Amino acid sequence: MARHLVRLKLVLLRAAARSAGLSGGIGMGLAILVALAIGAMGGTGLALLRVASDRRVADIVPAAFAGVLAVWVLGPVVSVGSEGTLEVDRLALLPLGRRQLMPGLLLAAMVGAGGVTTVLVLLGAVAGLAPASPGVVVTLAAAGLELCVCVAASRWVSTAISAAARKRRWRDIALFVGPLLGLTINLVWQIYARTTMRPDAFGHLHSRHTAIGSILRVLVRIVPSGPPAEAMVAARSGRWALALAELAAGVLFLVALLLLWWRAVEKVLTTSPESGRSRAGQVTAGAAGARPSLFPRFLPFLPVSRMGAVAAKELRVMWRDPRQRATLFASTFPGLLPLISTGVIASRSPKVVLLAAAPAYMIAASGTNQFGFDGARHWTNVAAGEDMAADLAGKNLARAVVAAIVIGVAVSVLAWRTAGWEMAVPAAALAAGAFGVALGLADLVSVIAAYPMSDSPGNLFSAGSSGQGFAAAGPALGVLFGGAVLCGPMALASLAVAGHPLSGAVVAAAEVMVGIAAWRNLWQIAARRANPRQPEMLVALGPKHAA
Amino acid sequence: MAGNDDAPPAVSWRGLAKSFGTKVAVADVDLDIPAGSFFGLVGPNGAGKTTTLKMTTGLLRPDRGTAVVDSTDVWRDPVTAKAHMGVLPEELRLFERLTGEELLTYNGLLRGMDPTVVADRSRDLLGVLGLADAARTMVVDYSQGMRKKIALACALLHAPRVLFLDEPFESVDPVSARTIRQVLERYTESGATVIFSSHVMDTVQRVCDRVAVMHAGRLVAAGTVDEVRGGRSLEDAFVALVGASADQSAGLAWLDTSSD
Repeated sequence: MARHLVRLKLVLLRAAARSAGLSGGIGMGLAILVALAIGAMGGTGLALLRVASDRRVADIVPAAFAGVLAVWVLGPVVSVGSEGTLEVDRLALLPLGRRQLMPGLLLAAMVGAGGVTTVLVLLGAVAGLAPASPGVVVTLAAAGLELCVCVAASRWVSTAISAAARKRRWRDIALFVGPLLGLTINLVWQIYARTTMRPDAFGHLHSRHTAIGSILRVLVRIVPSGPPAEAMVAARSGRWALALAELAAGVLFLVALLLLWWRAVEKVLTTSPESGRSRAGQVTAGAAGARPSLFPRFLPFLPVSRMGAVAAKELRVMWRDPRQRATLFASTFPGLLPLISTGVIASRSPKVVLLAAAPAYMIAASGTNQFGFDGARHWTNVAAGEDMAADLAGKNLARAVVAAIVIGVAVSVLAWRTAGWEMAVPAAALAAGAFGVALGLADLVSVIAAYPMSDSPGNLFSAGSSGQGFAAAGPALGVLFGGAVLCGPMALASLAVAGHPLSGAVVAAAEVMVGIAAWRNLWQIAARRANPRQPEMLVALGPKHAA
Repeated sequence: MAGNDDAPPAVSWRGLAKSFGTKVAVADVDLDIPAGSFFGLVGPNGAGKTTTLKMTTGLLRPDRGTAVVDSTDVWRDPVTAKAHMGVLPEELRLFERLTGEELLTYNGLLRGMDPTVVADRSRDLLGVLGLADAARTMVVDYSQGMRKKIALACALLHAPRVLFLDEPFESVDPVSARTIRQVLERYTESGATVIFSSHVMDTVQRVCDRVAVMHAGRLVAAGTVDEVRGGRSLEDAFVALVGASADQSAGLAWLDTSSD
């Protein structure tokens, strides 16, 4: 059975490559190349430990192995995209028990870019740490154990989340909390790393960071990847008894993970997904002229029209659909990074308030696939008669509402920290200009290169299709960097006139006008291009293009 | 209600064709569907029914040919044509994170309807279709039958002249199916046209006054139900038309060895 499941995985990967089309195929190729490059770099880094001191090796190897484990466990959760080809769910109807399924699923999980990358890293570790004696067997065993621990932990977490998410409400929570957890870890790490690198600016925090560093050093040793790493380190210095004891501890961890996975698989095989129960209630007779319930009450300015309906729908769904909510947070997050950079945290210059434009820019630039979450549901708009201008404007309006809230908070926080309230208006104007330029570009890409986001209920973390992420990355990066080039002069002008009220007002007005003009022209071009091509867009957004 | 033969046809197909790669999905279909008829488009899986309906409703561009709905060429003037038609597609992809009431409002405003009219009609449709208690429940929490009914409500909201329904009775419980049938019969009594695809011959024979049989992308028969069935049951006529043998299970003798 294990051989059958591995073969099935290979067949599915080949089928995905064949059906991915040109852009998907290129995306898959790029994904594999990047994975191989990361594996090669990681492996080379660990191979170079052959010339490192014992102390450095003792610090680096457990950290590196913990990193590999974290990628296996958190990767699918954070990226909302893992191989969804061999989930337990999909095999539940076959007359197969756990004993038959689990070895095959374990082996099948090793097939693919993740497995190859990990093997490359571990080969580097073996090259860098294996002693020149028969003790190399211990090093090889530790490398194999690390691979098994990573895969078992990954499968357990994936299946456990799937098992816990048999109800729609739990599925929604898992879909949102997973990526948020990943972002939070990333954010904490960024702050820690940045402030640690500048002990001069953060002397009062330095001692705490040293303590946190010590805790992390302990942590990477007690997680399941710790014993294999320690076994390798001990074997390198000829402490055979310790190495064997660490290997035994690693095997115990592996057995524990397999038992946990065993229980999770049982739950998935014996329960069926349930729908949730949202708030019930009858439709009420609205007073004449009352706003329809589709429109959020706190946004009275949304017009009761096709454009307004699309905007209201986007805002409702953006919040209610956990995938969209997670994506919204993920797209806002990179824009917040400059705000927590070392220089900004330490600075008291009012000019840093201008950085509030960064999240607005990111929210707009991340809208390169605004119809992706609609997917095949876009037929509703097409069947109602083509009006891409209104549809696109509605989606843009919803994005602008979100951006306005984020900009408001960012400007207020930065102005309060630096007492630079005089920069609030220039910052808002720069944000509006950058938002307009980036959103116009994103509109164009959205109609030219639309693709569906997967919403498979069977697998919480399935990607749209193999290679899709990389295929989408090209246009998205194009907008990100192209927009930055266009917005750069605006940012420089704002910096140049900071502190000069008159020229500052002129530049601010110019930035707003440039933003509006850029958005308006690009939006019109996008709508004109897409209107007569709605059926083709519908095909591109159809289920055959999803996983 | 039988179709009105004097009025211009509700739907007219001329040389309608579509291929996907080397596979011919629909091959030069010609047909007029009289206004006011309850029309069934039947055929086995893969016969081309869904493709034909998609090309007629402006959701899939044909390779060649024309589709005219209520005297408007769908591909020359899609906005006008779509204003006169309602659609319930086979794959019920709905905005599931909206409530039933919100979904109706969304559809109404997409079509430029007055919000007050949308609210009034929504209330009526939700009541008749038995969804009033679920009006503020998200569609993601609806059963399959409820989803069909809310999709039908969306298709009827703007009171279209022609209604296209792709497999409206599939996966629907008998009670919901009866409700849907009653709403559609009431709708055709007003002179509107219903065109629906199905492979459930019993339903088609019971509710339709006209029928067309598709097989391998071609129309193999069309006319009134009585004309097409020719004294037999519609199912027997259908099986004869698509060329299936009477008993295709002869090669499954091994099923007799089943331990159950």
